[in-house]
Amino acid sequence: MVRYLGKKLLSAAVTLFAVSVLVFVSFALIPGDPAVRKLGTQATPQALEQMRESMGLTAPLPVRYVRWAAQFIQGDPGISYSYDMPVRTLLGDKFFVTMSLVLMSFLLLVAISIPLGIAHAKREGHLFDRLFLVLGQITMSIPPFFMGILVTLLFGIVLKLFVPGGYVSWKTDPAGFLLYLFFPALSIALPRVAMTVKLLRAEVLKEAEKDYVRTAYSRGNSTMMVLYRHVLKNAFIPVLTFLSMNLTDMVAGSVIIEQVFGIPGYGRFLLVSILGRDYPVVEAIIMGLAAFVILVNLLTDLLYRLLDPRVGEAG
Amino acid sequence: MRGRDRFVRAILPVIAMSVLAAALGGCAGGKTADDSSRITIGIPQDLDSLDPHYMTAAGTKEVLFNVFEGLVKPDQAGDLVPAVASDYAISEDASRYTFTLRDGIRFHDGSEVTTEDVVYSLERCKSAGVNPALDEIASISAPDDKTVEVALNTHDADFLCNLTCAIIPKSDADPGTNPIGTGPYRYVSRSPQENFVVTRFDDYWGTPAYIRDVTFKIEANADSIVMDLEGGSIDMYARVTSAQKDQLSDRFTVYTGAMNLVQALYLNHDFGPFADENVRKALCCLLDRQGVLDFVSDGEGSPIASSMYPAFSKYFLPELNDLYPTDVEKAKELLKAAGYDESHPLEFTITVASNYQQHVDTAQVLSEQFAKAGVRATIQTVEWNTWLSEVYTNRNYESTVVGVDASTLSASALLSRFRSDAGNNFTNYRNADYDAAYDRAAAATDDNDKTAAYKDCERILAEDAANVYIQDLPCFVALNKKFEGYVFYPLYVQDVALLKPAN
Amino acid sequence: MIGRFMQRILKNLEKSGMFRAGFFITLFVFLFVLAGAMYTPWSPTTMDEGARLAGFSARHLLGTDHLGRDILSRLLTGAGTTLFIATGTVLIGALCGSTIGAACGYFGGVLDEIVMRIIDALFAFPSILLALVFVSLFGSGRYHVIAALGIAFVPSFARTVRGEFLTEKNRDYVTKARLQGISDLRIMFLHILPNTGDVMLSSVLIGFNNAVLAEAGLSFLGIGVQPPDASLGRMLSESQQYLFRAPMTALLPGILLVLMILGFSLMGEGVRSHE
Repeated sequence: MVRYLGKKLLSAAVTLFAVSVLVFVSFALIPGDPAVRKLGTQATPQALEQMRESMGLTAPLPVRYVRWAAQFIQGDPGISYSYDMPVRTLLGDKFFVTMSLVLMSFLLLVAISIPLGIAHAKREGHLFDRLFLVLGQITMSIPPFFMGILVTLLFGIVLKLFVPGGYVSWKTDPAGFLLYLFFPALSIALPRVAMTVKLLRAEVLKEAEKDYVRTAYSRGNSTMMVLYRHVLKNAFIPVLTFLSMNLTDMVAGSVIIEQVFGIPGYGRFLLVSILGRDYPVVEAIIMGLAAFVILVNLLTDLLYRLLDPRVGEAG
Repeated sequence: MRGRDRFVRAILPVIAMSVLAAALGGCAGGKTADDSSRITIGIPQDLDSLDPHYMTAAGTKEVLFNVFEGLVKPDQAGDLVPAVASDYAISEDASRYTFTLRDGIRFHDGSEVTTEDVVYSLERCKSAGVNPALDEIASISAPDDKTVEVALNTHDADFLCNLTCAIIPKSDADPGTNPIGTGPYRYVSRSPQENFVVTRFDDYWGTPAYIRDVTFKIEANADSIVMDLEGGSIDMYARVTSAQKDQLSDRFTVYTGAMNLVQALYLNHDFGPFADENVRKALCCLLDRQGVLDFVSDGEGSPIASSMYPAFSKYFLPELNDLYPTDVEKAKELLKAAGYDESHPLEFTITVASNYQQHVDTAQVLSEQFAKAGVRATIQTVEWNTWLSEVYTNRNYESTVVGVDASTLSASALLSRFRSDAGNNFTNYRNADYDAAYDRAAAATDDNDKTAAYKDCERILAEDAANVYIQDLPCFVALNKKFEGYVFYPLYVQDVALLKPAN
Repeated sequence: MIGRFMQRILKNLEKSGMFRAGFFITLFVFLFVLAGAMYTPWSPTTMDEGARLAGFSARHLLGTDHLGRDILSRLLTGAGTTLFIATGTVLIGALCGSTIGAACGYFGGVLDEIVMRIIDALFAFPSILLALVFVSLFGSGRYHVIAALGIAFVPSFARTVRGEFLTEKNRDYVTKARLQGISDLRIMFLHILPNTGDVMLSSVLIGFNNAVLAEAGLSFLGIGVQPPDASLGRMLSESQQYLFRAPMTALLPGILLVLMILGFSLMGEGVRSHE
């Protein structure tokens, strides 16, 4: 186990290294000068040169990378070009907001889809089951930001359950903050609910046809016993992959919903920082994202091992 | 019948969820505080810097206008009035500007403004390098504790407009995170990409503001402005489009003004075809300004035909608009003279920054209008920073639609960029007559001579068809009827101190 | 081969209502796209000066947009563009992604470890930045958007398929096939891959949906469809600010988009539940 973890940690470090290099090279490739961005189009050439100097942009790329990496490893992601503030103070807040949103959507997703999925598998072939499938297909076919608009229109404008754009900071009003996040979280979760339900239902059905299930029945176990002790455990593995994929997907994709609902999370910040060529901020956000993706994958792998010891043999 | 029953059961979970949502969200509704001593103003993007000497975005200046003041500052008529200075004098030869410090004026931190602070601020502003015009300053001195003198290297009667740069206390070590000024509002807090909060400064030297607490909220999603206004999360938005304006309910007053910029199809004169004046004139003849206005701004923009907008009434020449009436046949002749016809059509690319929908729309209309004479204009949208570096800085483009604004209250802010040797001459325009006319304007000390020379510059740009000038875009400000008193300035300024609760 | 394929379609049409519905929706979408390639009532870029944001009328059957352009004509041409870009993107993402995922999941070991780390790195890399890099390296255009988005979609396909393979490869049928001496490649693609249908179908659907939106999002970076050309995603995002004044300008491309995806997904669902 220790060896396994060690290996995973090493590979995580390699991934992070690869990501940071990718970002650095990308910024060298795309047009746009942070100094011009900061001083404006009227600035004198001397002032621009001075600004580039103070941003450390005059050094060759590898030197800049080593400088940045040395700082980053010590836990200092540098100073934002556009905010003159340490990136750390700047981002802590944003990650918290996005994570709250994503966690809430994830909880909604799990809380709604797992019971529904099992219920559906139990009633396979009923008209109810098939109608839900069709409904599910429709929710799945609605593009995320269209869903955001529809949710805003229905719950915000027509039913007046929340004030569109009325985001409140968690610092001033934690309850209001969570309440405001509910509908955005719902918009993220809804299309995925249908997918998860469908998948879970299919996996449970597939599993239920297996020999061991018949054996279990023949030994006189009750339906519920079989379902929960055997079928679900095995059916969960692909669902787990799917859910963990969804979790990382939600973080990467929350930018659209943040935009539609006016939530100042990391997504909007990433977009603004890329467009504003605020490299230290972009680096830090992407590294944070990568770390999150790696962490979720690691946890998923660990869970696999717990649920299905056979996975370990090959891994 | 059985089927319907099943259907009802199928949607039950959905209904249950909505009810749950309703229960949860119940307390979120009706939260609009009806307190008119506070106002929330939506702004399209975050402030680029809180340090007044380093701010460059128009969107930042218009907000920080409420926090910082210079020795002088612009008023609603476009004149410069004393602010931190109570009085000023300009020497006969316009090389020496003398300011008298206002009595008892204080910074937001309570300390008194001293001449030392003024000298420090002007010098800091100059060395920031954001406004190259300040390089004309030879020296800044304080002969006594009430007077500040600015001496220039040149003679420039228009220089006052550059002395609006903010006065800040010398003791403030970090103006970028702790902005202290002398304006009617003082800084409270800021949350990047979220909001910027100020409150009324009670020791303000001038007329105090009416509204106490002001929050500038960053509205990242331009498409949700109407919803946010109607939903009550913002009370005012100063960049409403004509489409959004039409969707607002009668709970809002819409003020109509101008954006004060020169929107044009700017042509790169180093791009082969545009070196030929016949081609440029042909494009001008193909332009139907009213057509563009109708499509892009519901007909509410002001047509213009040179690098000057109507708010500068002293310099603006409305007659230039009739120089090239729309005439497709004449355009075809001009194109023929330049060597283009149906078998060999004129082709070029319009590069346009995608974040400005009005410019993208304008480019699309232009492309249709040009097509009437067989001209093929392809549109290429790019993101703003790419535009800045590729088009504006590297001048690597054929033509572009953009709006150019004036950074200071002077005609030179609009006209100086077309001098052959100007560093910001992004159109590569070179014309000896123009340079001569501009030099005459710059050298003139008499205001009438100066104005006449500037007008010559405008005429040359129009007659030479330097660019395809289109319009000054309209600007619509939506204000909740709980408030009143919005006033337009001839510059990008949101003067919040004039807003007051409606009776 | 084609005969057998037709037979299967006919069989499904007969047996599954869901397949039937999906089939006709898809047929409608295809006919619509095909019609658009041959005929539009107006040129999709012509601006009718008298009619901006006009409603349904005999002159403009489905009304006009904010620049007075005929919405039906724009839908007709835009649907084709969108279908083309989304299909291309998903194809690249799914082909590369599932091959990588299958190989990693099936063989495991060092290859898996290395490739998956690269995939993780790509996954965290924002597609906007990727697109910006793409434009600056290769220029902009319709094919570049497909390439950039296709690459951006590889990681999610790879990870999904790998997860499936991890569980499937230990199942009895795989062990049996191995014992029979069937080659690894055959096992991977002919035995295991068909069993990942469920997950693949969902991934393709999400991918399709994301591709349409990403295309609209990226065209603002100057990559992909440029104005005045139409695409459904662009029409949807452009019309968002006219939602109250002319809701149809947003709803029509939105509905067409939903139909496009719905048709495919119903067909897939129908096939799976009856075979």
